[in-house]
Amino acid sequence: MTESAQPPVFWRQPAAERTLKQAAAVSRLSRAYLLVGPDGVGKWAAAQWLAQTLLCRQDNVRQRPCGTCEGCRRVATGTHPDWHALFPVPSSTAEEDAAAFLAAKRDDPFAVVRFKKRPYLGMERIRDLITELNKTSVEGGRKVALIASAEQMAGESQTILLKTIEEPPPDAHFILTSADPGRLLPTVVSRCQMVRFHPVDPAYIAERLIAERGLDTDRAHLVAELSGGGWGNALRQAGDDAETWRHLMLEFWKGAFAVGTGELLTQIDGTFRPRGRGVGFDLLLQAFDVWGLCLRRDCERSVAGDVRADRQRLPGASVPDLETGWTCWRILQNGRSTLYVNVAERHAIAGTFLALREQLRIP
Amino acid sequence: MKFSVNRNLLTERLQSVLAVVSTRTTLPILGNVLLTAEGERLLLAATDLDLSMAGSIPAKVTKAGGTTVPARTFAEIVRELPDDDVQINVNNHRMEIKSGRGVYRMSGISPEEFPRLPAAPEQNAVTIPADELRSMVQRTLYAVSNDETRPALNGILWQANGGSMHMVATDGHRLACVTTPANRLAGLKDELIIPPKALSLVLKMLADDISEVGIVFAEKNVVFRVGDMVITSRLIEGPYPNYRQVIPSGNDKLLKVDAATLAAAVRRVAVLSNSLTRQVKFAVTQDQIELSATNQDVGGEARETISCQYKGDDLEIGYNAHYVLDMLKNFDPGDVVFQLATSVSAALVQSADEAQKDKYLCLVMPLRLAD
Repeated sequence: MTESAQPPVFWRQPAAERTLKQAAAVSRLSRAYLLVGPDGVGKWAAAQWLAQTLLCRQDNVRQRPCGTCEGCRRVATGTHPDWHALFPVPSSTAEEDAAAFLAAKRDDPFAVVRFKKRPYLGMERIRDLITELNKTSVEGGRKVALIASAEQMAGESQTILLKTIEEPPPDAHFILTSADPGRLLPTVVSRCQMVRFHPVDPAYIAERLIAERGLDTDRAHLVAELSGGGWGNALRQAGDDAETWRHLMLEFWKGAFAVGTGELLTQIDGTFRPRGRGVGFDLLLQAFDVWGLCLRRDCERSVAGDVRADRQRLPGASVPDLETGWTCWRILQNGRSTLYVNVAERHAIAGTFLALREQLRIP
Repeated sequence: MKFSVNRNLLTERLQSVLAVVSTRTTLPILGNVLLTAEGERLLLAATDLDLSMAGSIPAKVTKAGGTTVPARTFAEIVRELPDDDVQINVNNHRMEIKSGRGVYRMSGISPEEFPRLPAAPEQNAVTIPADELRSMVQRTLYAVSNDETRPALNGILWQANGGSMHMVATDGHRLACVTTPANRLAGLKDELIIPPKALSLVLKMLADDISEVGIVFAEKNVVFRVGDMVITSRLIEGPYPNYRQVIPSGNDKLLKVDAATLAAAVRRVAVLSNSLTRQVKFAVTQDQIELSATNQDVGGEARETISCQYKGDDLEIGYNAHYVLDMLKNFDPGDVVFQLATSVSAALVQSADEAQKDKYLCLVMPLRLAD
C-alpha cells in the first residue's frame, strides 16, 4: 500500500478557496472567520493556511503563504508562539490527548481525531486565550487564534469570547471552526465571516483512496460512503484492518437486531457492566458513528431526490422511510452524547438500542 | 559549538534565566535555554513567551555556534559539578559536558525553534535611576487588577504627560498614581502598559550596586537592561481607561492623620473585621477617628480611637482594611491627607508634605456601611 500524500489545502472546496484566497491576495482577511462543515473536510487545514498567510514573512503579499519561511514552517509544526490553536480535549487527560491531537494534525491536517473520553473546551482556556491575545505579539507581527469545534464551548464561554471578537485586540485574528454552527450563539456567528466547507462527493474520496491508499474498489466506495464526505474520516476508516472492521460493524448491527430484546439486554449487561471503557466501548462508538453517517448521508440524498438513496443497504436493518431514518439518526446522536454523561453506560446503551428497535418495529 | 566556561559563573547565570523558564508543555522549546557561543562570550537566554531573559558570561570559545538544551536539567548538572572549568561540546544538538573526570551528555533542540523576539531599536533607549524606577513600581504594583475581563487593567500604565511622567495602576476599587517630574518617555513613547510580572522581575534583579536601568521602548515590547542581564517583556494592548475621569475634584472634607499611626490601628482593628469584606469603619470627628470592626463569626468587636485633624462635618465611612494598608505603606513617614466627600464616594489620599503631595496620589473606594 502506498502512503497517502496530503490533499491540497482546499481539496474540492472551490467556494471556500476562492473567498479566502481573494481576501488574502489584497490583504483584506477578516478579523474573525467561522469555517463551517462536517469533520474531515479540511477546516483545520484551511485555518492553518490562514494562520500561515497572516504570519508569513514573505514580503510579497500575493505569495503568502510561502510555506517555506520560518513563520509558515512553525505554524505547520504548531510551534509558532503567536499561533494559538485551541481544541476540545478530555479534561482528565488533557496534556497527553492534546499532544496526540496536535501530532495527528501535524502529520495530516485533515485527520479526524477521536478521544475515548468526552472532549471539553473549558472556560478557563478561553479566558487564557483572551488574556494572551490582549498582549502584544511575541514576534512583533500578528496573533492568530484558532478555536476548533467551537460549538463545544459552553454558552458562558461563548459570551466571554463574543466581547473579544466584537472588538479584537490589535493584530489579533480569530478562526472558529464548527461542524454544528447551530450550537453557537447567533451573536458569535454574526460577528464572524462564515465560510462553508461542503462534504466532498464520495466518488472523489473513493477515487483518491484507490489511487493513493491502494484500496480495492468495493472497499474504497464503502469507506467513502461512510466518511460523511470528509477525507479525514475516510482515512480513519481506511486503515489496514478495514476488512475486519467492516465485518465487525456489520456483525455488530446484525447481532443487535437479530436477537430478542431479553437476550440483547443480557448481552449489553454482560459486556458493559464493568466500568472500564475498553475495546468494546470503542467498537460501540464506531458502530454508532458508522450507522449515523449512513443514515445521514442517506437522508440527505433522499431530500435531494438522489436516486442513489439506499436505505435498504444499511448494515443490519432496513429503514422503511425518510422520517424513520431521521428519527433513528437522532436516537443515535442522542445515545452517543448520553454515553458521555454520568450515567451507567449499559443503561444508556440499552436505551438507545431499545429506541432504535421500536422505530424499526423489531419485536 | 565548543567552549569552556567557569562553572560558578555558568551556575549563577543559569539560575537567573531559570526565573522565566516555562513549565508549559505545549511548546517544548520553552523548557530549554538557548546557548550561543560567539567571540569570547557565551550568551544564555530563556523565555516563557511573556518574558525573556538573557545574559552573557566570558567563555573560551573554540568553535562558535548555538543550541538549546532543557534548562532545568542542564542547570542541575552544572550545579553539581566540581568548582572548575566546564568544557562543553555540542555536535548536531547533542551536548557533551565535561568536568574533571565526569562526562554528561544530553540532547537539545535546534535554536531555530526558539522564539525570535522583535528587535528593540537602540535609538529608543533611555536610562533611568534604579531608585526612581523601584519607587514608581513599588508604589503602584499593589493596585494592579487581576480581573481578566478588563485586560488593560492587568498592567501598569506608564504615561508621558508634558514635562512629567506617570505610572498608574487600578483595579476599579483603588488607584495609585506616581508622578515623576522628569519625563523620560519624552519623544519615545506616549504610553505603554507593562505586565506587573515583568516589573516585579526587574525589581528582583535590582541588586544594591545597580544604580541605573537601561530601557528600550520597542513597538511591541519593552527591554530592561539590569546590570548585565536583559529582560524583555511583551506589552499589554491598550487603550488604558481614562483614569483621570475617576479622580474626584470636589472632595472638600480634609482628614489629616499620621500614616504609621493609622496603619498600625487599622491593622489591629482589622483582626476582628468581617473575614470576607475586611471592613473597618472610620467614624471621623473634629479631632479623632474611631476605627471599629465586627466579626459575627467569632462574636468579635474591635474599637480604637486615634487623633487626627479634620475639617468638615462628622462622617462615617467604611474601607477594606487591606486596601488602606496597601496604600499607607507606600507613603513616606509623616502625615497623609484623606480628601473625603461622602460616605459612598472615593477618597483621595496624598502626602501632607507640600513637596511630596503631587508625586503620589491614591484613590480608594469605600464600602457601603450597613444601616
